[in-house]
Amino acid sequence: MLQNLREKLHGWPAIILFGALALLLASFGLIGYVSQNVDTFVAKVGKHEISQTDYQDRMNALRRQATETQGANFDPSYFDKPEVKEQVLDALIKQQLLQQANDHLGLKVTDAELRDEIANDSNFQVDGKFNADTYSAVLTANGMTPQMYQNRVRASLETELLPNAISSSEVITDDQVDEYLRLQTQKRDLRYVMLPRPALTDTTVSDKEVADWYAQHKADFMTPEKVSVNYIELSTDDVKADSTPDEAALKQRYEREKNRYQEPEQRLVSHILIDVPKNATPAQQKTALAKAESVYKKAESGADFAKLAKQYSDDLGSKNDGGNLGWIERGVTNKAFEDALFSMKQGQISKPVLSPEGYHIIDLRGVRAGKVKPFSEVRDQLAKEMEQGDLERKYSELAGKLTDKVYADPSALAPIAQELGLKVQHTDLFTRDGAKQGIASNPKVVKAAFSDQVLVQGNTSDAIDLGSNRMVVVHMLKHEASKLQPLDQVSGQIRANILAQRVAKAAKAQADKLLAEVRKNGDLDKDTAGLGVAAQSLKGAQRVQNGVSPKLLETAFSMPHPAKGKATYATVEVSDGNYALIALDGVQPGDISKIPEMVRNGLRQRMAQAYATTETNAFIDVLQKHTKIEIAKQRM
Amino acid sequence: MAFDAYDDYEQGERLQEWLRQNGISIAVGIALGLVLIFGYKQWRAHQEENRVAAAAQFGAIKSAYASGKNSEADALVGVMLDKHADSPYAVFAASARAASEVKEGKLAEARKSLQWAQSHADSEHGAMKALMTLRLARVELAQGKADDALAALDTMPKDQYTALRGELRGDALVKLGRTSEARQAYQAALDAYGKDAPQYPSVRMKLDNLATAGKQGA
Repeated sequence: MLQNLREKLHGWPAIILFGALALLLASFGLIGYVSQNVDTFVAKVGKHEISQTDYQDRMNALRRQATETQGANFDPSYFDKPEVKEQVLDALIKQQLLQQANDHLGLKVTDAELRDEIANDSNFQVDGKFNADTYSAVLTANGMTPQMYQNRVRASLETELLPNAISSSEVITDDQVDEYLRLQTQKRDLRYVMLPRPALTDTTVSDKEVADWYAQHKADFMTPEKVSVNYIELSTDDVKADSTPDEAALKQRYEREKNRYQEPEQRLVSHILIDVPKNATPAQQKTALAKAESVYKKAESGADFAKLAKQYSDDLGSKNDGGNLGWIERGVTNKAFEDALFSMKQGQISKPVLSPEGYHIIDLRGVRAGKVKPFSEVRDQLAKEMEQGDLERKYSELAGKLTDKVYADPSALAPIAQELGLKVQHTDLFTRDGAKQGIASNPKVVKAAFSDQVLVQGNTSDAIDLGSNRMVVVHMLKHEASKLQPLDQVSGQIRANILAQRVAKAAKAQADKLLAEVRKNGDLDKDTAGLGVAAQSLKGAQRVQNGVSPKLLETAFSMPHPAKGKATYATVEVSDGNYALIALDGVQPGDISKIPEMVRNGLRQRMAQAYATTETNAFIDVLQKHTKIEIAKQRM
Repeated sequence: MAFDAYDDYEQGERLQEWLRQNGISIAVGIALGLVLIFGYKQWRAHQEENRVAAAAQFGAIKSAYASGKNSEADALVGVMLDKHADSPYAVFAASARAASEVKEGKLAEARKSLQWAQSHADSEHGAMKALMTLRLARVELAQGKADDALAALDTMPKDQYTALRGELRGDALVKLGRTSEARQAYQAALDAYGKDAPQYPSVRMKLDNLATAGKQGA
């Protein structure tokens, strides 16, 4: 039947019908019909899924970055912390929200922006300019096509679109800047009395008080947890190089690495440059050549070359030095110049030589033949290098053996040390803060010593690399759990604490009482007369001032403004148990007329930056509130 | 099946008959569908073109302001507001013009620019409009119109830009002499900013400056 349908259905109806079907399929594709039922996302932002791969890629990139910047200090377990994982995912979600906002809002990365971004990347620049060859070389080395790379750059620029639009249109008024400055440079007139610590009338401390304190502050009297470890340390000192390096081997190495000992031929040269403009007309070219030839004739006929250079040379760098370019080896100048220079004889002056810069007249003043340092001169250095290489090879062989053996039997160190001819050493007890010296001062060692593997399971640690060809494995020797110190050991300390607390209480009571009095009587001098300390006056105090306690100033600047002739008062504990009583007599707004324009502009810029950042975050918050976001923590 | 009751010839005949009767409507239907599809695609392409053009224009405006060519930039903004009034880029462009007008001390013009931005900002759940309102209020406050600024701030959705709105409300209320309300506004701003925000110390300073008796040492 289908056969017939096909035969009957020809001509225009068929063409239109099938044409339309084909168009429909081409326009909408089939992708929508192929459904995927298994969820693999770590987060779903609206309709967009952030896949596990996206998340892992970001994690790996951050890890790589951290390893590069922190080197040996990098702690890989940092990225396993749940809060760090959440931060990373949060950043990905924010990026996705920004992308979606771009789509709604119609924000676009223009081709010009993309081009500029790539052209300004220093990785692709030679002498500060974009270089197409470098660009393709770098991309190839990283296994990327230009299209892939552009997409990546575009994606990263896209997340900057909204933040940039917000910050580049930020409005900060002079009023905001002035108000801030007026407050910041505000001055206050104060008087203050540093209250002396009151003497205690009752200095007896009962045993019961001590016992109560002990019971209430047990955590303060715990000794820290300590461990000591046995360890095998391995360094290049533990291996010996072959006694004397073999002469034949040294010679062989010398032959192989001869080019390291080669000094290239150098020529001492001066020149006179006659400029030929870029895209010179034939006429300009001719003029230049004529000039060059006339200078050459003068030099040839014995005129002083240095003087000629000073007079005629267009090379600004060398003309005042008589055209001197110093000792030159191959590979530093352009080819035309080099070919001419290295085909000349000493003392010769060349005819004008055309290079991309113009015409050169070259004066070859000296020749230093290239030479190779003889074997005898470099033998000792070679022997040392060989020995070092030998040491390192043997070290890593031994390190490999040690690691293998520890892996095979993590239960004890002694048999391993014996087998490898190494010795087992041990540390004293140390806390989680580490020891002052020795291997236990290394945070990596401390971490390993307190690790589950060593402390709880009693196994030998993995090899710990201490850098510069040193490594160590540790095994628990002694573990001292944290314990409560007995009362009689700490009772002295407790007595002191109780007395100090009493003093502090009395000082506070004294300060409170004085504050109440001075608030009532309004006379600082009279109310503090019995203390034997005079009030100090500080007119026009600033928020930060040398020689005045920062706490005192902080309090003074958060006191209520005084009414005219009616000071306000406050107390502050400037240090443990030491109080000051402050009287605030006046407040003057800062004089901002003398603040330099540069300072104001700098401040305005910083404000603009801070407010734009806050605005951007607030904007993203709104997006986040209105987007359905699912997070699958189990897949992180 | 009923269809099988006819032989092949009859089937063919019936199909041709049916096509003769309905062919025209089918063809018209298909043609209409095609027109719709192509029309939609054209419209999308046109929209995309517009977006790219607006983005490029905004880039030009940004770099003109950044390099101090203000009159050139102002002119570009004018064209932008005419040609791409629907684009959020126009809103940002108007705000950028306001920023430059503020720097030149032309507060009245800046206010107009931001009023345009505010009335044309309409997307992302009010976040764009609220942002422009916030900036408008800054300019009105600088003009000495603290009442207007306060009124503008009160039109913003309560759950958006909480910290920034609170701080600016505090500033406006201080100018109006409504100190205790200002204190509340600053306190709300502090809570919303959080200690790590660069604005925290300065808002703290503003709040401390309004201290009253009994609040000291808190």
